[in-house]
Amino acid sequence: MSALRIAVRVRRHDVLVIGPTTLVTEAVLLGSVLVMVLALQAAAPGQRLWPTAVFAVLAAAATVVPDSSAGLLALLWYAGAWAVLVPETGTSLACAVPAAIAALALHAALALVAALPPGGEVDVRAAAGLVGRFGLAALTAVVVALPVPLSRGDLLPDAVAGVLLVLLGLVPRLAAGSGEPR
Amino acid sequence: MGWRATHAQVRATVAGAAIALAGVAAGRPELVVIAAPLVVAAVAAGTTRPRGEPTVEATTGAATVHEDEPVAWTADVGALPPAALVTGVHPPQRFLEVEPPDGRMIGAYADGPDHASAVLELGLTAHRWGRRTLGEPVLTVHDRWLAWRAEPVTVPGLRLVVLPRPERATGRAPAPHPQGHAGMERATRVGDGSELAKVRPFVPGDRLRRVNWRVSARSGRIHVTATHADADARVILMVDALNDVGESHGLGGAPSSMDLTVRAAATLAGHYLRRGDRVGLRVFGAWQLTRVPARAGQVQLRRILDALALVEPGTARGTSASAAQHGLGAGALVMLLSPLVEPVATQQVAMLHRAGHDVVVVDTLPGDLPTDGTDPAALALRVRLIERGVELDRLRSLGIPVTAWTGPHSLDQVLLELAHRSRAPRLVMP
Repeated sequence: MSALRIAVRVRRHDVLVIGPTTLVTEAVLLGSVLVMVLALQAAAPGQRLWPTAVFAVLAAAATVVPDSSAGLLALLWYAGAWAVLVPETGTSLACAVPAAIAALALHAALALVAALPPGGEVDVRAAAGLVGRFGLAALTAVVVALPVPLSRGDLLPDAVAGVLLVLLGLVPRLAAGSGEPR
Repeated sequence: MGWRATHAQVRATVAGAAIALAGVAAGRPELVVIAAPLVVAAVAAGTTRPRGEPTVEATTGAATVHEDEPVAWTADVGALPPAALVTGVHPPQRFLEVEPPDGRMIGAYADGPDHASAVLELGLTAHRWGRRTLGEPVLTVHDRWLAWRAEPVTVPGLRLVVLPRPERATGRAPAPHPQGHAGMERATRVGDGSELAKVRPFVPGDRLRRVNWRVSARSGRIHVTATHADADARVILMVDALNDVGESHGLGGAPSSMDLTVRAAATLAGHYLRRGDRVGLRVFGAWQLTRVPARAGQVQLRRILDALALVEPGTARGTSASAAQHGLGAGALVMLLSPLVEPVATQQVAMLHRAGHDVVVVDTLPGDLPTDGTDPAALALRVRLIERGVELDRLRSLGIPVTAWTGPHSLDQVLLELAHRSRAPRLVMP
């Protein structure tokens, strides 16, 4: 990842301007907002654009002040926009999974940016731990989404749905234990 | 130090719960799907809320370093929850370089020696002499979900005494009036030493090892080689701290007059102490009169550097600058390091000269002062510089050497002239 390091020389030392973690975090922030916007547009084609634009503005505000309630407002606005704009169809559920993963990615990236000092860089091991933990949490979107279409077509027995829900309950415990150094 | 929920935890909990409940209430499974990862993150963070309080052991107290000498600052944060993230920021300060830049410190759980703690490291390099208390670093600990944050810990700032860095001088110009019995100066009297004085006929009492066999064989009479005695001089460095002219940019940058004065004093002290001379220091114009009695040895260099590092220019409180010349004793070589902006400094030189001391004035006024322009400050400076030029001419007319400090070799020519003058025959009026 050292190829991503951009530095300028001040006096006799290299001053890091953009490091790998910063670059990846910025990409995740931008990418997650983009995915959420595209998912909303794909789930609700031809609908009004201003709710999506408001979400983009709130998300941008959240990236500027990550340690604030702006991120919470952005997520609530997004969910509200989804509830109002998106008709309940099979396509909407397919679009909800990437939207859910992107929402969690946005949440995690905002949490990381808020935790670090401006321009701070975490090492690869700490970053991998965060990716592992939040990655497991993101899997629950798939786990939750899976039983819905199956149960609609009576393809999924209630017992299997119950097992899936139990697995869903275990995910927090699994995620809590991930990323610890051995 | 307690643990508080971050905005991330509030976001995950509130957004997750609200969206999930809305989804369930409205019968919209997509909303439940969107909420699920957030709920999982919130629940996972809630069930793993840290209980213990992190402990911090950091570098505190005082440290003494030279200019441009790095000093390491470390903080060992223990009793951390697993996979915790520790961050810290050291506040910036003028003339202080911090590595990593901007004082950002990030450590992770298991970085420490016991694999259950984090170590934050910082390199601090001071670029200007003086005494300073550094800002207080602030440390913060987040749990593995970045959902809980320990109350920030403020560590007391390090107290730094930054000694001026003496330049290495290799000048061999002698001091004019060496008096002591040890050192590398050449005394005017003949005695045990290494520098040739003359070859003279043998007289009873001369040591055999002094016999010059070549001259003896040629002349047919026994001759001995006489040498000048080795002696040490007493050098008094007088530092004018009445004011600091110009703006300092630290070591390697443009200096102020006080920078030049202090570093020149440090260089001269180091040079003469290496030659075995006794060096003393007087500072006038600072908040208290600093006197370091003349002694020899490398410990004396440290005493002088310590005294120079504590100089705070322009803080005199009613002390007379002329008090600095009391008790100098006879035969001392007085080096006055001054920008000669205050008339008091010029008067000081005249009084020292009148008292019979060998005085060398080292002019430490920086060369790049902002004298251009029509604003009152520039105009006043130009007028003062003209007056100063007249005063310097008067000093020179009195036979007082004035030389600008341009480095360790600035004084060689002046000292050679002084040494020649001290040996020259004098006209004594009856």
